[in-house]
Amino acid sequence: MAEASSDKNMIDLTTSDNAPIKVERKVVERSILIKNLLEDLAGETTEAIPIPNVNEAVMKKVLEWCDHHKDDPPATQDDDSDSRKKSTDIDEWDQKFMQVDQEMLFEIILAANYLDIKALLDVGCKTVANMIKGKSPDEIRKTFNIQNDFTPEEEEQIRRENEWAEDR
Amino acid sequence: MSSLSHGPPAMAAQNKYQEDDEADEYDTESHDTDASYEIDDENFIQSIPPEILQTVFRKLKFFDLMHCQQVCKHWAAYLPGNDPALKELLFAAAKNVIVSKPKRTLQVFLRPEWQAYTIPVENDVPKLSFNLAFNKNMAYNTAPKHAVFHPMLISFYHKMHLVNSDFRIPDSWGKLQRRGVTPWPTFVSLRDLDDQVAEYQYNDGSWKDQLLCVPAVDRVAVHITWWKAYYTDDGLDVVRKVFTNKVATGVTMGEFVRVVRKLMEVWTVKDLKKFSEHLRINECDDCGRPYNADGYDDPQDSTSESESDVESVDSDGSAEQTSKIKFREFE
Repeated sequence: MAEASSDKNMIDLTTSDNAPIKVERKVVERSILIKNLLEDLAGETTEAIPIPNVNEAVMKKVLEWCDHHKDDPPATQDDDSDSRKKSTDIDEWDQKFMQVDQEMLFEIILAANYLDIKALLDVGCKTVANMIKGKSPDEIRKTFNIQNDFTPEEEEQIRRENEWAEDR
Repeated sequence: MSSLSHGPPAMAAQNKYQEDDEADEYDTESHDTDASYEIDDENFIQSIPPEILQTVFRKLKFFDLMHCQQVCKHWAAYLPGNDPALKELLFAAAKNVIVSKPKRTLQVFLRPEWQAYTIPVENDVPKLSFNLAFNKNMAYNTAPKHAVFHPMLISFYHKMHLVNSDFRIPDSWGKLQRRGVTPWPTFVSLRDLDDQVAEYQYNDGSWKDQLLCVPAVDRVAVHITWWKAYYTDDGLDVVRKVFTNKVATGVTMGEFVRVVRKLMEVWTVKDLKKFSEHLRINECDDCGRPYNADGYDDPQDSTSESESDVESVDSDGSAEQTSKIKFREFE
């Protein structure tokens, strides 16, 4: 690809581990952070944009998602209430996309949050929510490797208080 | 320990995103052993900021959120935390906040269904099975727009033993449910009111501080309607109605159950006695043995003092007449 010719449509990024990434403007503009940045720069982009909070592996994964979703209609205002009703349905491609280890999953979520990609953050949170759904507190702890920091007394108290909710 | 694969940059990323308050919490709470540090390293979900954790929680429903509250102190602190959406999902009562205006009394209708039967294994003592179903459609007519009712109210007939400790869930509960039969809690005995009040503790249920519905209402009228079709040959419907206290921060399930319980103690005991004479279902479905209306304990009428709090009203102006006819019929 010619260096300076199509620059209007190609954007250079530098990830936290100093890896250069070239990406189509339309794709990277799924990130509201970068979109606003590009608008502020008003086409005067000569240098690569540094993304200090995201490493190359994660950025590539995020851009893969952005590429697939580059033609999606922009999010509507009442997206939040809508998504709550639909709860945790995830489209098939996104489900496959999110089949990664937990480290990558949470890195993607953090990156989506930092880069302000609402739809990706939403998919990530839904994926985590689906890992929680229908599990007992102990199963949730095991899934995410969380330490139970309640004392046995506190735990007994909690168990008593919530007994009623177990036989629905 | 986790069986996940971990890349080297995990720790750096974690520290970077760790919020100050979260870090504090871990300093004070989970550093009692050095061995636990390893786990924290692999504990990716705890590395995301609380706002994002709460975004995850917002995708879940009530019972899953109840489980999340029990996972660890960190999660419990953000369920609901200050998140209005999570407060709604968890039916958390607003503290020191006046509920939405205009204030109106929500009308809640409970539909009793009951049958008498004998259980041969239990000394042939007739038992009364009683079901207070929450009538969603009727409540919706008077409920605030988009009101969501507490899950316990939706399956109220499952929870009668929490309302009144005299109700017992049959042992065969699970078996019956698998056969597609909805078993009813059984009114084991009708004991003296004083005993019941003394013993009345609500258990420790977390439900009692949760709101009856969201958005919250500051007052609820509870109706129990005895339909004539079920219980009498030519009588009229009897409506028992009682109000909760006015609660500026929203009527809770605890307050609701308190008045339902009162309603049952004061009225139901009498009603059951009266209606039992008109009971149509007088044979046990299972064994076909006749049911004896005098077979269960007399409530001793010690209930009458508390009656002043309870109104007997009908939905329209004919209330008074209705109840008069009723009492003439049964007295």
